[in-house]
Amino acid sequence: MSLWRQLWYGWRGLRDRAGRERDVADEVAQYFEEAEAEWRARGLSADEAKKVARRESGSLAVARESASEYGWENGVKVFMDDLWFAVLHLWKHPAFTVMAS
Amino acid sequence: MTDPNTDVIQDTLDMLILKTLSLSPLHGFGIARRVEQISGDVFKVNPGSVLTALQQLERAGWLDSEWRQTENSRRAKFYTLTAVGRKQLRVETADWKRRAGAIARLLEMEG
Repeated sequence: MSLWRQLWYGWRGLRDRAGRERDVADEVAQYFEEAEAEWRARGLSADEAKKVARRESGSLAVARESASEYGWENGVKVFMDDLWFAVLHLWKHPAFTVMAS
Repeated sequence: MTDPNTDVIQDTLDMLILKTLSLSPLHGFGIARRVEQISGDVFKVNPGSVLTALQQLERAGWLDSEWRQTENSRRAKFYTLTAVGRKQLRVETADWKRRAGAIARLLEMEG
């Protein structure tokens, strides 16, 4: 197991989140397109092929979410998003924060 | 009668992916289909599992990837086995045979 590769891939994902999301989306989309094409080659119509491919492979959105969530960088992303939300909330409602504490 | 379980056992998916790619570079869908075909549909692989496993194996240094055009002119991410990956495949295959042999012996016990 390469620690440097883990760190490098994760760092790349943090630095270019949009690019990573795009790559995952493209890879998942290609997977489902290939599945549909295979069923069309067997003689099904485009609609039928799409239905059978989805039934066989499951939800495209679930697959994309599952593939997107892998990696240590997602834990960092969630933490940073939560932190930003907390800071924003503090900024907008300072009185509530003082009373709550 | 219940349908037979076609889920790939968690730890074996990595080994099956490494083995599939030892034969030729493939994209995610190609890998899933190859596993299903060679297993005679005993195993069915879902895209979320295989694409996540591919990321894991790539980060471990056992696979490399690059974007290429498929025969259907689609942009796809192809994976290839690295030298370290080939070594890991040998390790995992030996471990699997050892464990499968032990399970077979236990199941054959009478009593």
